[in-house]
Amino acid sequence: MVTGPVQPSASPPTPVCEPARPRSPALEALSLSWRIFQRTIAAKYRKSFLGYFWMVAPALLITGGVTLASEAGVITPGTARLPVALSVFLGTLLWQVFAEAVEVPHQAFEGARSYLTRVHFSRAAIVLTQLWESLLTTAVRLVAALVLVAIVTGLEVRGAALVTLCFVGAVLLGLGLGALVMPFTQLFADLQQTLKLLLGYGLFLTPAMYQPRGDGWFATIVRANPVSPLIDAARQAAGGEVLAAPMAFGAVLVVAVVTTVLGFLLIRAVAPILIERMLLGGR
Amino acid sequence: MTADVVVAVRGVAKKFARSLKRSFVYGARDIGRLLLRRPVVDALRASEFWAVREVSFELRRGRSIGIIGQNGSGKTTLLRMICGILRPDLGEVAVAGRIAPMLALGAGFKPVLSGRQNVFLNLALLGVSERDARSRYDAIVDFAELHDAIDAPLGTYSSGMQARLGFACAVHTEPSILVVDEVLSVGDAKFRGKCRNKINDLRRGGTSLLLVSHSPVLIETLSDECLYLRGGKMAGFGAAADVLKQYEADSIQQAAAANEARLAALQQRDLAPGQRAAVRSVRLQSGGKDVEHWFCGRPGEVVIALQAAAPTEPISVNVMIFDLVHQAGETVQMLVSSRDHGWLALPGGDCEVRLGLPQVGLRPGSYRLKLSVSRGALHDILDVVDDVRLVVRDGGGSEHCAFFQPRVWSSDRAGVCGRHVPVAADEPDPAGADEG
Repeated sequence: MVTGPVQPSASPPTPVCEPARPRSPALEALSLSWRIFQRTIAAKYRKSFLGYFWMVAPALLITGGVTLASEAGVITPGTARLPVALSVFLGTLLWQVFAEAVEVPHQAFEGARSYLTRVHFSRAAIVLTQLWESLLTTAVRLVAALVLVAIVTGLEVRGAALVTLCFVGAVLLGLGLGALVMPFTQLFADLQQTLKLLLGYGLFLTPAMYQPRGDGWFATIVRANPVSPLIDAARQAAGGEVLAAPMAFGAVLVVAVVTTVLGFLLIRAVAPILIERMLLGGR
Repeated sequence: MTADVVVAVRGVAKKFARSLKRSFVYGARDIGRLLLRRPVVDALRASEFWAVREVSFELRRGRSIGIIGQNGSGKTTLLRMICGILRPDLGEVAVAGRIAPMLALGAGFKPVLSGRQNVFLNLALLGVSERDARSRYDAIVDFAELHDAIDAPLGTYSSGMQARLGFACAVHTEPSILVVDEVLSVGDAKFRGKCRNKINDLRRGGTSLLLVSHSPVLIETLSDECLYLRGGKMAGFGAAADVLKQYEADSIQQAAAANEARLAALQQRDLAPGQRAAVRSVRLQSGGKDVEHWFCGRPGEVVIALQAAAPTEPISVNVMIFDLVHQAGETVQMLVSSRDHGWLALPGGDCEVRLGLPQVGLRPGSYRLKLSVSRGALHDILDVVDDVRLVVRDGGGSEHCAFFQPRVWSSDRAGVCGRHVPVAADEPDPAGADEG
């Protein structure tokens, strides 16, 4: 019983609401993430005048540099039917999409630190929120890539579908790997710095700018890079060629889906351990 | 859990590591154990301690429980486990219904978004559906009284305005359980009254309340039962008045034991070579008798025994009082003899200086006293004694006050008709509520 000098409340009564129907955790996370995404996406670009330009700017810059280097005979961009500039642009964009997706889970937890430690809600929702943002930028990049390919070489429906699949594969592969390492990058700053370094310079370990020759260790690393089959497939599809390594392409897509599912399960399981450490004021 | 119980806490325990680095290593190991499906480590590892241990209680629908304890006693950790933010290492927490966690208001608020956008964002995080959020939006803005500023970016709001918006969102989530951690002091006096009334409205509607506060008065006023935590363990649970007495008695006992040890240390030390004056003892008195605590609104004295090697130049005795409860670490009073009374010339040998307070103005709680002896215009320090503990108990008349205000009420015509709170027509009979 509350005692004390209670005055009549000035606020109107709260509307009575129907009891919420229980939903599955996955649906709950999807719904909540979409609502957070809707409210926060505008804020992200509110301080930017050039907005979407920054989504393709790095790829454009690298393409310009590599094209000049290629014309000077410094590097060998490969034998695809696509013009060098377009080939490099596609490869660089795909790596960028992959690299950003790897950082999505870590950034999602970092960005939500203030409310993860205050309110209980679906933890997968914050990663999904960041994923919607990542998919938006991927969509913008994909449209830019498809428009350029259509203008330069013409584009068939099959080619467009395959290029789209490559972009989706890059997002899922990045997201899955990022989700699997995120618990450890949250705990150890050194790991996060190492990952950033690898993602920053990893572009040079892909066929985005050049095709490695022979069977040396460098060529082996580039071919073993899980993003390489996606880059090769996207270029071949954009150039109207038959996929040279459909098995590798399919395998990467399967791995991408599996790692994404496993990554989300891992995040759900370990979130309380991470949030506990966030409260301690560490990373 | 029976139908009437909304929160059931059973044998809950939570441990933390004191070392930050070890905490992250343990985190990685715990993740490994989780992946390998191995059981969690129940025992304490190096540098770990139990923040909460073996806590069990039940909160019933429409009832309220206050949680009290010293800083670091595990109150907030317990609330975080109840709110689902932390997972207990041992035991379980079962919750029936929606919790409005008011551990810190305005979760998820983004400064670049408008107040309107932030309301929807916050409600989404608090589990309110989009449709319900739209239907409650006007009530929230009305409650927060932010009609003119609601479309401005939140970054332009004052901290008080942000807290008002956060509080308004939290109380409009139709909660079954309100979890309040010292956030009733939001905004100005008028808004605080409004918050209090809203919480009362919710409680009349059957919402249960879990309240953490350092203020025994607030706990006694708002709680049916009280849980007292000491060192993470339940030191008491039951009727608020009884448990608060135990809490106060413990606080006084701890303060007295600490002061006794400090006094013994003071008496053993000698004047250092070249030291002109030193404090030899500090005693708390009331009405001329040694006491272990003071009562708010009644007389209190600090008796300081000084020793000087030889007659000194004019000195000042200074007493600083720090609040350990309401504004942790803040200086609430600084009493300086040279300013209040004049500079003192100590004769050689022992001497006693008394600071008398005709009515103790400090509100009930725990305080730290720091005494110093200084000289000259720049107050060069001759000796300092820190960490003398002081407990102030409620002597009546300090409820809801930041300090005790001596006062006299009178009226030209109205008479006094009683000292008990009359039950309003729209409130249930307290006796009936107790029976439920």
